[in-house]
Amino acid sequence: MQWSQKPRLVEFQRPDVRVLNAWANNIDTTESGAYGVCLAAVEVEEQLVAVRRAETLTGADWYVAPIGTEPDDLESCFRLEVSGLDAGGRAEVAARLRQKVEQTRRGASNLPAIASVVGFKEKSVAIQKVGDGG
Amino acid sequence: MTWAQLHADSERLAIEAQLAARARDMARAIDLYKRAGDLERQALDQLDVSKTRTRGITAVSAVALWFKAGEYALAEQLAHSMLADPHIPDFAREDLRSLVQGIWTESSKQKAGVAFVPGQVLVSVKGGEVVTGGAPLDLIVDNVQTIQAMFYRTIEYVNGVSHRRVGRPTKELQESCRPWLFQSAPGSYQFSVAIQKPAQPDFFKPAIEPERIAQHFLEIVSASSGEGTSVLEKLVPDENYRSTFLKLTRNLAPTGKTFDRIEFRGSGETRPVALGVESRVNINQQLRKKPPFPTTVGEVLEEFRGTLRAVHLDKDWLEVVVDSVSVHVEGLQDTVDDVIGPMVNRAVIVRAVRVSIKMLKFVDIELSD
Repeated sequence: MQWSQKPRLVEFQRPDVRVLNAWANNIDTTESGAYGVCLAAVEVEEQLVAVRRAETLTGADWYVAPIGTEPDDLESCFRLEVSGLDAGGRAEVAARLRQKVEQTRRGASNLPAIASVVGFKEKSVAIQKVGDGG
Repeated sequence: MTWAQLHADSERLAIEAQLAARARDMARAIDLYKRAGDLERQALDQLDVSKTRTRGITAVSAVALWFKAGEYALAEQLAHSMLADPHIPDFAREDLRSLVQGIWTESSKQKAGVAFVPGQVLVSVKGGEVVTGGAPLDLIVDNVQTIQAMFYRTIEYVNGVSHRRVGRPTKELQESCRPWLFQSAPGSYQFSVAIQKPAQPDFFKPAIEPERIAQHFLEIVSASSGEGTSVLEKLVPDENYRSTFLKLTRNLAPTGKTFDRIEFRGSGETRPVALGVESRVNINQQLRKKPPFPTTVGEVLEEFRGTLRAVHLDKDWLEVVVDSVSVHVEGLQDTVDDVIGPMVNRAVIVRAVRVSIKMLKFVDIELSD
């Protein structure tokens, strides 16, 4: 795995009490926060933007495509696999990415995917493309 | 309307449904999921057969949306028709099969006439002596007991109950949150576990979301088998609970002799939390990070491989028989009933520090078979 040394600046509004109360659930907050950060990261690093969301049984998958792709279908899209960690350092982020890549490989079959892990404590994002079997 | 328009409308309704579900407005969420599923089904009809990926993704999405709306008949019918379609790609086939499993289990739960906490965990035991649909009985009984113990521990933990060292959970907990085991479609050896919904509405503290129990269980298993300690420390700050969860997870992890892998999936998830032979190494690293007690120079760590013949938690000792010789070990510290109980009369590895010729002080115990 290669770590880009290029820092990125994220601007966001500091959450007030109302927002903090609405997002009191740690799991939901980490998951949604990871989606936001990861979508921004793949846009900056890979020039891929979210085009569609599709349901799975317990949640939803995001699909990303190169900027400018006509969103008529999902034939050239990548499935974005996102995971968020609110604790742990670089080693934990790397370990989670390895775990995510392995899971994605097993589940992906012939669907190209991108595995991504956002480490909020470490302030890092790890991204890896996972095979395209055609 | 085109696929893109219909899918976009479905997407909007599904997001609204998710927000309604999060706000606990289930009636609205179900209605929105149903409408989103109907639109996704229409979107699917607009697609040319050559668009295999889009058809696969859209079909899974439509079945999942109807499932979330409780429209099991519609969901199952569409899933089967798509599984019969030779053009459906493998990834979608896998997802549809998982969805069908979820539909069957949910339908069985409805027929049981008992209310269940939303969410369930599908368990797959693979490799070694395990065959498709069959496994050695003792292996499955051991795993089921440990999973039950972990569910009880998870419920106690999220409900703020003090860490229990001896005995079973309270009768109230056992009766209120009884774990049920459901048969699942075979593929390796599989079963699913669901938690009966407590009759009394205030069983869980107001801040607890019961539907999180299955997810919490999965996160604990995942963090326990991970390479670092910080994720589990964040998830379970209480040291006693953390140690118990780690040891219970280690009891579930395969040694490679009778099976190679155990996987846990949330209902309908295709990507499991897995415990392999290597997981024991990670768990032991987490457990051994902090020495159980201070040792002095000259005290030597010894390892005994034998059969656990006796345990007395109140009197704080165990006996392990090694080559027909009984070895007495004292000071079981935080060892708990549900971790060590299932090890009696089984092959174990006991680690202990020799503090004198006659006295061994307990460090750790794990299954060796």
